[in-house]
Amino acid sequence: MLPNESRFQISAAVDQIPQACDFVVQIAQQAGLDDHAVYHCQLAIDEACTNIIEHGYTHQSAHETIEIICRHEPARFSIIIVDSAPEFDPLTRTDPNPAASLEERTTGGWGIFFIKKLMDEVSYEHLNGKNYLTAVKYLPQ
Amino acid sequence: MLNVNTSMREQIALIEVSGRIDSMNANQLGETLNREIDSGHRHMVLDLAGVDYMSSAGLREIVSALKKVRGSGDLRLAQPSSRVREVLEMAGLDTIFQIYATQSEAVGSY
Repeated sequence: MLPNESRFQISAAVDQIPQACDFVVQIAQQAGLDDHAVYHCQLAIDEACTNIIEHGYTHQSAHETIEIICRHEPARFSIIIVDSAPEFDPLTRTDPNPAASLEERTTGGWGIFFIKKLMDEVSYEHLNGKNYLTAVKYLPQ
Repeated sequence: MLNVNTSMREQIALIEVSGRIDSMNANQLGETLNREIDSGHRHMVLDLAGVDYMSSAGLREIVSALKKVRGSGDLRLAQPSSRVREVLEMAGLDTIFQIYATQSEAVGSY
């Protein structure tokens, strides 16, 4: 683990997500993000974990986990969400349309869209059988 | 932790929510809204004054409820915090829902 890195692991269950949010909030505050940016990080980790649990790990098991890595660098705060669900790049999904009428709307599909809107950078990698979603907030200079 | 209270104001079903709405408990809100709709209530106000956090799981429930009542009634929102309003705006729901600054304005809008 790098000196500027903190790690936390949860079981892949929705009742574990608040713990992941609390962890990210604490580290984001220590990194110097303001309250609004910390809130964005909290929403981003919530949406990412929800997506993995609802769409990635479709067969719930106590052995399935999500790892959250927070990395504090001089100009950026990164949240890396790691899971072992089947390979899936959520960034390839077509964004839902905020201008759609009520009739045109599907009720889901907003989680990844929110992460892209709330964070300054979002990227995806599949490495050694794991999905890595990285969401970055720029730190105030 | 999510608290949901329901009451009637004249013919308006008032649902007051406080706490955090996320994927763990959004179905609790959805069940309450569905129960009101199934009871025949078509004019509803969802007071979000006590909600400090709402993820897309919460949006899913309120959009689903609105789809059920729009046409024969409405689900109107009252007092969203700036953070909840930001989420509503990101999803374009500030133009879909009628949103009021106070509970009495929302109830009185029917």
